[in-house]
Amino acid sequence: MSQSESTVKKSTLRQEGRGYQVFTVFNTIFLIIATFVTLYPMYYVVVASISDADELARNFGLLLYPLGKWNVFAYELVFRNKLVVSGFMNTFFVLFVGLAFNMTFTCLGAYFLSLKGSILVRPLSLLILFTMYFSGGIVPVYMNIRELGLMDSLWSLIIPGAISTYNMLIMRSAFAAVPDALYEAAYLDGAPHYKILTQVYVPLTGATLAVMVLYYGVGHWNAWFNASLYISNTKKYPLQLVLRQILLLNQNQDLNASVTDLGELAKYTDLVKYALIVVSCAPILLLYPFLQKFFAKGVMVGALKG
Amino acid sequence: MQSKIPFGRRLIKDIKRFGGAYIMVIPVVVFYILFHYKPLLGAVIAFKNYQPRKGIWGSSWVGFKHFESFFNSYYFGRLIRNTLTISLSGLIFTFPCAIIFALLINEVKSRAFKRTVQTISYMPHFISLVVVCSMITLFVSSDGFIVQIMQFFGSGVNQSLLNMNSAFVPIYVLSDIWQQTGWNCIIYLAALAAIDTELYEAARIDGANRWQQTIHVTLPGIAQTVTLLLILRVGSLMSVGHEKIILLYNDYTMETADVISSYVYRRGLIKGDYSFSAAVGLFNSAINFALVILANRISNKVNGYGIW
Amino acid sequence: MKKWLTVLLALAICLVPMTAFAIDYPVTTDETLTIWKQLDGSIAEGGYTTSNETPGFLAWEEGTGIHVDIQEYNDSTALVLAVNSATELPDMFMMDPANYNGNVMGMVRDEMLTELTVEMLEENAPDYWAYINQPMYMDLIQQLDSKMYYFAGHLFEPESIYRYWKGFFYRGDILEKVGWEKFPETIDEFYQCLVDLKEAGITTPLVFQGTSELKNMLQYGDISSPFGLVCTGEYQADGVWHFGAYEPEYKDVLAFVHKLYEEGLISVDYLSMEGSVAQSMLCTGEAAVFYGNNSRLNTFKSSVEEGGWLYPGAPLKAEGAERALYHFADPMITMGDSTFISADSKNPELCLQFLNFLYTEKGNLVRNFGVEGQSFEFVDGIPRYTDLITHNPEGHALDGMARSWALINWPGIHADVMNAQRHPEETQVIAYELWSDNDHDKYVVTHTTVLDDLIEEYTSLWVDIDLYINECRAKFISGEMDIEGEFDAYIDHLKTMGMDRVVEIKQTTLDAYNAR
Repeated sequence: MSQSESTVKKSTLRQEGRGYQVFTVFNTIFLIIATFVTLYPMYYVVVASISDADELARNFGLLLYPLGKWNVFAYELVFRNKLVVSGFMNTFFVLFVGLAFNMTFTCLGAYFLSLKGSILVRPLSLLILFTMYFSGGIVPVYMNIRELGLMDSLWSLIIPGAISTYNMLIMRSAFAAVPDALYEAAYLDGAPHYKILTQVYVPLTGATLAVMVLYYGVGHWNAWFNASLYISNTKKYPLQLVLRQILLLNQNQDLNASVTDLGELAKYTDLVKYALIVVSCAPILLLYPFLQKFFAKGVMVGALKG
Repeated sequence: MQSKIPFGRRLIKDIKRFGGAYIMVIPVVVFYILFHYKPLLGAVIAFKNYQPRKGIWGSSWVGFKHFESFFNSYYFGRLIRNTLTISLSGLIFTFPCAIIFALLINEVKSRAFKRTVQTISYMPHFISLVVVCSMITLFVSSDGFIVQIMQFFGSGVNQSLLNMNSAFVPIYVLSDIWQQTGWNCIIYLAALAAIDTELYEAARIDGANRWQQTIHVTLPGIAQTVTLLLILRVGSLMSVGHEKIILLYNDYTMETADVISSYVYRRGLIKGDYSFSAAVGLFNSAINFALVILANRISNKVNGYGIW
Repeated sequence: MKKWLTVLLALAICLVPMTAFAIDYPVTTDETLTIWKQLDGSIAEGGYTTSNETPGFLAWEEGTGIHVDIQEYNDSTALVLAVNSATELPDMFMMDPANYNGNVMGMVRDEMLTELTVEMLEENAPDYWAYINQPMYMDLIQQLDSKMYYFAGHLFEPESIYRYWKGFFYRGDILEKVGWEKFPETIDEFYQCLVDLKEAGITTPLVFQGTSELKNMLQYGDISSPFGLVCTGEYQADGVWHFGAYEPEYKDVLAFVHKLYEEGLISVDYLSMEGSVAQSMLCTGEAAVFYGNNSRLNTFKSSVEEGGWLYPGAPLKAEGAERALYHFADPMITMGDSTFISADSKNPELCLQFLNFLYTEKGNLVRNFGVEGQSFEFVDGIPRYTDLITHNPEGHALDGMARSWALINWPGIHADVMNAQRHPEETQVIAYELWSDNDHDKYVVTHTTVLDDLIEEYTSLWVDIDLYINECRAKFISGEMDIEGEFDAYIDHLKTMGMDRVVEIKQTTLDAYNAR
């Protein structure tokens, strides 16, 4: 997005009047404030997590730098919790295995839907599209998972979400944009369909595929609700469910076991929460610089597919 | 066109031609049958007195009883009201934010500054909902910094804002704005970038100043994108997701926080009232579906093309 | 300690005529039974993550010769969800039936349970049957249709004071400093005490863990009974069923709590006060009165600031009254660990044999004390926890250790001699004695269910009413609803929601229950 738009302004902005200059100043100030407001909650969490527990409990209002002697005690407490560690493992499992399923199924579906000339494409599209706008609701879906015997298994977080219809339609648009001539050529060469898919379509739609990985990946990383319904064994909890347990439901048995002075416990409760938030966001934020270039592309393919 | 040839024969021909593709699509079809159409069939429990151990088909039929009892329920009006309040607030506040933000960013000359603003503004989108909600819980608790700032400015608030009915919708909407504005504005920035430079040149030659250019060139340039997204939004007016609600509400803010989807979750999956909440869910699905169809019609009229 | 011997004697006497049916443990079987239950979080404090691994449970399996797989659910919601939607149930599940739509009779209606007939019990659970076959327990176990559907959860000895494990306790040192020489007994004294504490600079005189404990204070009458209202939940008086929050006196109770709220005697943020915050406030002296469990008297002790000490207070009563009308008490049988044998079990007899073990002499020891020579030893003929439990070398808490090594969160007799050792502090003993002095058993409604044919109507009415009462309580307390102006409207609103019909249904049920 950033290449063409800036050329617009270079040619037009020079001869603007005073009014516009005033606007520019205010605009800049406003954006700086907006950026600060966006960033501050995250900054607060980081700073709070390395602050001294006593000073943090006494602090009133905003926080600009770590209070007291900064330390990583809260992080030690976080990793003493076995569930945090197992939560990461479970989430990574769901993420990687899930992505394999996502990409395979999505490509298979998108390939068929992008076929030109098959009489089944349209009826199938309609049937698939219908599910996007009409569902039985969470109760029948829950019962279905139960009947299929997926309860209390990490597969219940992988298989039922193998295809997001929305993503598959995006993928179909990308496949449909591949020049017909390439398909025809491969077809006439006698290449079987799976080869056309893997050797013609996939290499030509790399950017969209990367966006799919981003979409599905972020989805897996953030998902908690289905797990809260389907997974009952705490050892199988994905990270987000562990987070909910500790951050929102205030259940942290391991902390209670580590901090025995009850007078002290309360102030560590919040401290540990801050540290846990940082730990749980770290992987995404570390990947952030690498993911960034896909964002614009990602939203674009998502938006105007029609 | 080919309607004279019987479908069966056409299909056979089709299979011969696309055989491999047919085999490849089988897993996808199975997936849709198993995870979309089967639960859809399961929704018939809305018309039954479902007992898990008797199974869907073994349970007795009760017709529209559950629907009636929902319509007559004390909470019916409140659920509709809350659902609409939350989604309309999103439409009125969250939705325009992204447009305005995009327009402002578009006016920035320095590329480095622009990049920085954008990069930071996307970040919250990647923070998980659970974490966002726990940050909210921490910040608006009685000793959280947001409440403390309010106290500093003379507000008498001294309890967690999450226990106050009047604060729920603002918290919900403001946190949405914080989390999604940056991400949502990408699409408008893209639309802005796509506006033909010559239009600006022409306007300038006609003597239009910056403001007039915005009115006559920029806004029409993104109008199509805006209408499309607006229509999509209208289509989902009655579907407020349950996840954020469930993470944030409690017994005391249900008056403003309880929406149809959270009610279905609570009555159905927590209290075990399967049939009743399947009925409520089905009712909601039907309304949503009707709204989407309507939105699509409008889109066809206004834009000349639909959502699908 | 004589009580302990009496129990053993009673067990022994009961066993004699039953010898024909006595079960030879360990039994020989290849079957594996399954059970679902809620995870008891405190075994984590003993160093265990699932009950399957705890020494107590292993001793149970070894004692019976029966292997059982436990599937544990992290919270009650998850467990209920699993039971609710199971197409096939495990052999047994341990759940508070109040969480099931329609309670015990709802499960019967949904054909989930194996009925436990007298013949089955005599044959497969003779020790259990001998113990519970007395009116005090049978009243609770038998349903309205006079049948039995579950294996009773842990039950208390007939005269046990250990049922009364929740109440007020005070920071004695702070009260002394403020000039109180005795602990409040009447509601007026209680209020005055809180006011004095506040004036002396205690920021939040009374603390408790969030909404659940406030609800307990009201529902168990601690705050309501001095106002002539037994409790704000259900109770019976002379055969008439009442619901406290639907009685005129409820207005005075609400006005009192609102006063506490407005004057800052309880936290303005009480709705979301976490347990850890409440306890640290008490320990550091930001608060001086606490409502909570007896065990806290012990666990807080080491954390209270220097010179501080805790002391229990009697249940509050009205001016001039002899004792409190009502106070927190566990029922004689705890429903939370009642164990249901499912209709899907192919081996109900084996399940009963497994559970019955806890009522045998040997099993009773395992249940309350664990493994002889490790977690307990006989001292002067009385089983005593060893230092492993009471002063754990690795610093594990007593309660967590006891729950891991013994089976005290499972069915069986919750022995007084064991409770005495789990709550050894002098103040804890005093607390039990003080807290048990009230008329709880006169007013309590022991059955929890309603007549079969009324279940559906009752539950559909109650779901909405319950939510409404909860919401209004919070609003009255905070002043969002004006008690003077809006209380009548509140009662009228309950009427339009069908509260009178609920009263009718409950009364019919109570009559049927009393007529059994």
